[in-house]
Amino acid sequence: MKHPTQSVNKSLTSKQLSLCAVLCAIALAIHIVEAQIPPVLPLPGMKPGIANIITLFAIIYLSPREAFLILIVRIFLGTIFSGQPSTLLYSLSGGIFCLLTEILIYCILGSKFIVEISIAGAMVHNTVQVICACLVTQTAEVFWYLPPLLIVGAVTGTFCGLCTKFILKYTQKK
Amino acid sequence: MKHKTFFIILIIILLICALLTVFAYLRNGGTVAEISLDGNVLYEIPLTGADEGYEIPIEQDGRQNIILIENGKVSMKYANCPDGLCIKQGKITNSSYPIVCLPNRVVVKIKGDAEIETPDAISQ
Repeated sequence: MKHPTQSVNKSLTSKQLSLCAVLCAIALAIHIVEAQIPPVLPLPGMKPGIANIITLFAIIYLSPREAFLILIVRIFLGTIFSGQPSTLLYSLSGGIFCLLTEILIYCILGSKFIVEISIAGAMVHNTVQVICACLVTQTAEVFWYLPPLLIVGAVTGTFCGLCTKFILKYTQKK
Repeated sequence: MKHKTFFIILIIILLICALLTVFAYLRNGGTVAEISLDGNVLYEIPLTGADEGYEIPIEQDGRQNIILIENGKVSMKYANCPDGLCIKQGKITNSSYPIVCLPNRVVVKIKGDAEIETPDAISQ
């Protein structure tokens, strides 16, 4: 029996919904733990971006729409729980543009290119954050941080991409 | 084939980044420190002749930062922001990398002062 106001293909099944919730919880936990890791290099904005594994996994295993929901919930709750409201702007802008890039490349190339999608996402994330920082502080010199951040982004992006590849290999769907 | 194309593009981007990083790192130091809050310049402090080293406190709307000025070097000594990344950045000596405290929106950068540089160049 169909619900009168919802079409079947647009609403989540309860299985998908619970998977979304679990992924949100994992992403949130990673997000908060990640914020506690002391930076290895004195580069502002440098972080492992492990929570991106969950976003990537959601794009491929569920769908881009679910990935978007998980990302938004993760960033808002993560910002509240880690008690750093000033980082919301950077997380949100970086996260959304990162996700859009990943969805775009995923739609064009497909799920065989997970590592590439992850690297591109990480680098777009860094770029957007530096642009944001530049606009907020009104200082063009902040752009000098972009080249080293992109190098770090490529490394962490590769790592996250490989992680996602392994997770997808063992979850076996699609 | 697409994998290969992607990685070639990636390597080119990374090489450019590496070159820019090295270039930025090797740039000459400046002589004036510029401290700004929310994009407005608060102080311009000459870095020459500050052998003793002194501190400049900045406070606005509960945002507190203490900046340490030494001969040719600037560092963030204290900040009440949650991550404290600006303190970990340590001392900066050249004009490429500014110290940025994003949560407090405080930026400290070094500028090469043309008025001081020029007489040296002429005398040579």
